Parts: sequence; C-alpha cells; structure tokens
Amino acid sequence: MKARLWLLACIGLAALLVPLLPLADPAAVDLERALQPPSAAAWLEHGRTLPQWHGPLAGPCAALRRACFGDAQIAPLLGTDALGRCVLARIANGARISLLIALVASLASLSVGTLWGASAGLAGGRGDQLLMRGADILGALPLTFLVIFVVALLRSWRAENPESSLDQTAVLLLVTAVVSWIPAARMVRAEVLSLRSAVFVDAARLAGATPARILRQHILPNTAPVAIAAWTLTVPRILVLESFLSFLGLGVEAPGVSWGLQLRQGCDALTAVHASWWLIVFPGLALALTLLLLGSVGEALRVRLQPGGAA
Amino acid sequence: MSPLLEMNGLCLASGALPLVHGVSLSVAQGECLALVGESGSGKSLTALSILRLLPEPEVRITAGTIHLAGVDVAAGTADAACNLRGRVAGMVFQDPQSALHPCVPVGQAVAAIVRHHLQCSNAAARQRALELLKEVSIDDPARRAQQWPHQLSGGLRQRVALAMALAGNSQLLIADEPTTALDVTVQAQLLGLIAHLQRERGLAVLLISHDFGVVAAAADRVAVMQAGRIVETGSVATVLAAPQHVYTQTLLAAVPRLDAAPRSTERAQLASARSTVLVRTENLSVAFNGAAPVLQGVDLEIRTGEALLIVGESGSGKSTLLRALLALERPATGRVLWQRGEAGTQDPWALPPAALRRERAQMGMVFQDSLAAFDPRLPLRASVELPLRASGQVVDRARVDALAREVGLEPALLERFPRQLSGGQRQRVAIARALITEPSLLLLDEAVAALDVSLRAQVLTLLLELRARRSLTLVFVTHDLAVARMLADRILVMQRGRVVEAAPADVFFSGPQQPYSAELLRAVLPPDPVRARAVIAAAAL
Repeated sequence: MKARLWLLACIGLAALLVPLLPLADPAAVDLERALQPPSAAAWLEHGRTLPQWHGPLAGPCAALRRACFGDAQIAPLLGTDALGRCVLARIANGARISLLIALVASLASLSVGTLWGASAGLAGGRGDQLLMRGADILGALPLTFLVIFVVALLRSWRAENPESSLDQTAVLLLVTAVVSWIPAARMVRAEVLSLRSAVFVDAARLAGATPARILRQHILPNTAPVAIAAWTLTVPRILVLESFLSFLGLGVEAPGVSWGLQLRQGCDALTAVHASWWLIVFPGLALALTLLLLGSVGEALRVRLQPGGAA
Repeated sequence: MSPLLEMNGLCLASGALPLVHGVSLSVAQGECLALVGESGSGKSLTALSILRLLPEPEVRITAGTIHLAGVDVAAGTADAACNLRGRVAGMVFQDPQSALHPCVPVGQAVAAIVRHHLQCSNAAARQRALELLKEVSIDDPARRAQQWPHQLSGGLRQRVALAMALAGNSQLLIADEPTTALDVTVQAQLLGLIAHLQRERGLAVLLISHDFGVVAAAADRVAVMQAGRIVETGSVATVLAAPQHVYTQTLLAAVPRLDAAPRSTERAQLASARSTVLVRTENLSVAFNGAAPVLQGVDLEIRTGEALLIVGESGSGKSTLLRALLALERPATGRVLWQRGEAGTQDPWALPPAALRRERAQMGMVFQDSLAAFDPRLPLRASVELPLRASGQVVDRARVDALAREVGLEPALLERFPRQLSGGQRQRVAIARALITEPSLLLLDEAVAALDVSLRAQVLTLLLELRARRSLTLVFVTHDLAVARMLADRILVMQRGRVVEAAPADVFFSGPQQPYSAELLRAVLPPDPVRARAVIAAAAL
C-alpha cells in the first residue's frame, strides 16, 4: 500500500514539476533524428533549445531550471517520434494534461454528484423520485456518443468562429465532468438514505438538533467515505475517457500532448516496414500503470476511511 | 468406554495473543455439558475448534488434543476434520435466519445433507428429510418442507437447523446460544426438544450459553469459562446451588430473579409523587406503508415518578410504541399527548418545530444497540454534549464530567470513539447523554439486552439509583421478565400490537389476569435445575 501510494505520488509530482525538470521541448521538431529507437548511449545532451512556457510562473521556473541544470537536458532515452520529438518528454508533458483533466473533471463531477445525491436522499419521496429519474434518463443515454457529438458540434462552431477563445481542453473537461457524476450521485443518495434512518440520527433528533445541524454534524461527515470511494472510481474512468477521445482525435489537439494523443500518433507511425513499438508501448505503459495505481490506492483509501475499518 | 468428546489442554491463539489457555472438557454419550461464560471468554472459539471451524490461520490451535469419537481433530488438518462435520458432530448457531439458505425450501436443504452423508437416492433422502423434520417436532412436515426459510418463524427455523445438524446421524450436537434469538415461550419448547433428542437418540450435547436459566433447564454438567480458562466444572445442581469459584458466585449473584423481593421502600416513597400524567396516548395506532398496523388502539398513561415496564415478545410493537411516544413515528390514527406545564396537554405533531425540539429535550432515550446509537465519527464527548448545544445551552465541561462519574464512567473515556468502548461502558455513555438535559422522563428500549449478566446487573442497579436520586419517570421496554421484576412499578404486556394487560407489578407477578401474560410468566427459566426442568416439561406438553 505504501509503495503504491509513493509511486502514485511520484507520478503526480513529476507531472507537476515538469517545467523544472531537465526535459526536452515536447514540441521541438528535429527531422534529422526521427524515429530513433530507445537507447541509453547518452544520458544528457547540451546545446538544444529549451522548452518555452507561458503563464505567471514561467519566468521563475525557467530561471530555476537554468540555475540547476544549465542547458543540459535528458537525451531521448525512450526514443523519438516521427517528427524527432523526445518520447520521454512527451510522456511527462502528456501526464500533465491527462492527470489535470482527470483530477479537475472528477472533482467537478463529484461535487455535482454529491450535491445531487444528497439532495435526493434528504428530500425523500417525490423529490427523490424526480431527481433520481432525471439521473436515470441521463444515464440511459450512450454517453460516449453524446460526448463525440458535442465535441464535433463545438469543433464545427469553432471553425466558423475562428476568433473565439474556446479551448478544446476546456471543452473536454466540461463534457467529461457533466457525463460522469451519475454513479457518485447514486452512491451518495443510498448512503444518505440509510443514514437518515440511523439510530444515532434519531438520537440527535431527540436531543433537539435542528435538521441543519444533523446534516452538518452527522450526515455529511458520514457520507465522506462513500464520496471518496465514488471519486476514486471516477478518476480512472475519466482518464480512460480522455485518452479514448484524444485517440479518436476529439480530445486534446496537436500542439498539445496527452497520453491518448500520443497513442494515436504512435498508431499513425506504424507501417508495414517500420514498427516503431516504443511510440505505443511507453505511453500505454504510463497509462496502464497510473490506472492500476489509482484503482488500488482508491480501494485502500476507502477501506481506511471507514470508521472502525482496517485503521 | 471413553467419552465421545474429550478435549485436553486446548490452547488457541490469534497471532501472538493467546485466547484460550488449556481448556479440558469431556462430553459422554447422552450427556449435556453446558459451557457458560460472558462474551469474550472464549467459549464459542472452543466450540468451533472441535470441528476445526476456527478462522484459521488467524486463530490457530497452539497446543492440546481434541479426541472426537477416537480421532484427534487437533493433530490433523482442517480438511481432515471435514469428514467428521455433520457425521459425528453437528452444529446449531444462534441466528437461524442466517444459518439457512434463503433460496432453498427447507425440506430440500435437509435432504441435500442426508444425500451427502448417507449416499442414498433422491427419493430416499426426501423421505428421510421428512422423518427428520417430524423428529424435531415440526407439525405437518410435508407442507413445511416445501416452504422457504422466510416463511417460517424463528423457532421453526431453529428446528430446521437442528434437523440439518442431525441429518448425518451425528452423535454430538454443538449448540452455540441456540435460543438467544428466540422468544421465551419458544425457547422453552426448543430446549425441551433438545432434551428429548438427548434421551431418544443418546445424543451428546455441548451447549454454549450465557444464560443460567437455559443452563439449569438443559445441562447435566456445567463448565464455567472466564478469560479463556475453565474456572469451575461440576454437576448442574452443585454449581448452581453452591458455586465454589468466586467468578461463578458473582455471575450467579448478578442474575436477576423473578422471586427476588421488590424494593418496596423506594416504591412507597415514589408512590406519593405519582399524580400528574406526563404522556398519554388515545387509541394510538401506527402502520408502516399501508401494511398491517404494528400498533393498534393503544391507550396508556405515564405518570410522574413511576417505572412503567413494557414487556412482550419480539414483533409485538414495544419499540414502535416507544418511538410513537417520542413522536418519532407518526400515528395512523389516535394521538399522543404530552404534558406541557401550564399549557396543558398537547399533541407533539401539532407543535411548531422549535417547540417540538424544546419539548423533546425533556425526554431522554436510551437505545438497544449502543453502537448504532452513536455517530462513529464523533468522540463520545461530542455526542453527549450534543443535546446541550442543540438547545443553545452553555456546555460546562465539569458538569459533563460529573454526570459521567454519576453513571460510573471515567470522564477520560469520553474522549474516545464509540468503537473503543465495551458495550457496558457505551450503554453508560448513552444513559449519560439521555440525562444531560436533566429530563423528567427516561425511556429505555431493551437497554440491557445486549449486555452480559454482570454488566446488566450493574446498569440496572445504576438505573434504580438514578431514579431514586433524580426522581425520574422510567419507561423501559424489555422481553425479560426478571428485569421487569427488578424495576417495575407497573407492567404493560403487549401482544401483536395491542396492550393485553396493564397491572401494578405486585399484582402482575402474584397472578396475571390474562392467559397470555400467564404463559409468558410460566416460560421464564429460573437458574434452578429442578424448577427450570419443570418449566420445560410443561412447555413440551
């Protein structure tokens, strides 16, 4: 459990600290060394252009990196792609986008789901029916196709209005969050329903506690394990959904990098004579490892958070 | 001839922690040995080890021998013991509901075991299953065999479990608290059946129980267990009449008895105060979701200072009545009325929410399951202080501590979480919580049913003291008439949602008016072999 948690933390930290690490520019095209296989001949190389970052922290980050590593950067240990870009650097940069989307979208979907489920559970009766049937109707739609449809619509809208600042990543984030909150809502609702009739809630009612106090003090804290369980199930699902959409070309777009997009480009580079396996295997491994770790750490977390569980 | 079961110096341990230290016991053919002790004394583990049903490898046999019909079970593997299960020894557990497969008609369940052990044809197994059901005194076995477990009552289910334990012609029956989940009248019948099988089949019985009444009724010999050791063994008459070990003596002294003298002095004092009505119900009925009503036409008055005991079998509506009194269940018809000082009586359902909350603070409630009654995520102090905070009063730490001491608790224990306390300690915290707002009325729902005898006696004594000190009005729901005898001024007997008898305690115990009350009273098992056996013999008729 500890080892898995540390490994997951390392992946997250690496993604977070990419601007500080001596990595190659993920977008730097160098056709002279296209499709180089993985090699450990040289660990570092010098004199190449450093990646450019934008944003408020870009300046200090670049300065810090230069101070620590000079102009050194890690050589393409995992090979290069069809445009000569370093696969390692692209995986690290891809992790940023993939994990960011998974994290933000899952938190957004968790808040929607918890709110929706808790309201249904607390309302009970007709309100409960109304809210949950609404969720059922949404859940009955083939969501993946819905997402594809929405993304395609937006894309055509953007083509007609090229000056709009709508980012495709933001669209992806919003759409995945909107379609993935239903399981969380169902789980939270069930928990709230059973908590509502718990003996200790009766005891609080008898003690003269107001409904607001019961909600704040008893019901919400006790739904936390379920909400967290729902969240740990949502993160991998969104990660997969994002990769899948990017693979189809409906997610993150070309100048950006994500694991799904890398897999797409790896598949494109496959030819009958030239099997550049490293373009598919390494991003695929990164995705699989992260999914496995998320799943098992989520499960352990859920058990740990149960009062009187394994703790 | 050597005894059927002979256990010598059995030691069990979980990891490095020893649980059972050198237990030796023997059960001969046709004999019933009772293993008595409080929860956590290791009696169930000892019984499970006989058929190697321990949760191995978490709990292991570390030393000792268990000879069952000449085979040393402890020496072999757990798989080897599998051949003995159901053939030499069968087992019956406390909860007959979870012991039966919910999706198999009970006749088929018994027949499957017969077929497995006797290797006979389907038709012969079905025939044998019917005979077995008849042997455990199930009326109309052909019809019952077609039924599913949920269609049978608790007593019938336990009979089916017994038939399954005997289906492989086992010579030893291991019964782990077989009657604890059953009502008193059914308990007497089932114990009578076990005694009958013991005589007819020469069945050896190892009976695990915490109830001295059950032991007195069923056992030939008794072994008393404390903290993983057998502290006393002897014939049932000697051990119950003249216990040698201090522990047995304390246990026996703690058993509430029907024939104990009621505390007349305190009652006389309180009788004078019994004037105003605190809570009244008029033709109260409660029904859930259009099902048959759980309570029907209950009329009842609770007067200040009295101790009203509500007794009845499970499902008779006792707990629902308590909840309705507290306005936790809305009446289908009729009404509940609360006395509100100057304002006269009022229907709680007509009160505005704020007033309802204020009024409820005048009533304290203690629930049966002390673990479920506390929020698992809050330290106990927060739960105890909740009634004060909710009513906007100042929380005085010293006052909470003083109350904890009054109910016999170390205040430091309040910093812990519910799971970290024992059942008896938790029930004391629950009483403290109910008393923190200094209510005039305390309602208790089977508040001692889950506790061991010695703890039960402590909590009951505590209630008597608190009542005298604070002039509390008590409403206590129980199925245990001995507990009722100890506390009651007035008894209310319930059956199928109706009040069948309401009488002063002295009148009730000297001779109840209603046949159902008399039946309840007759089925109580006193911790005395001669009289307990007479109860069982009467129930078998």
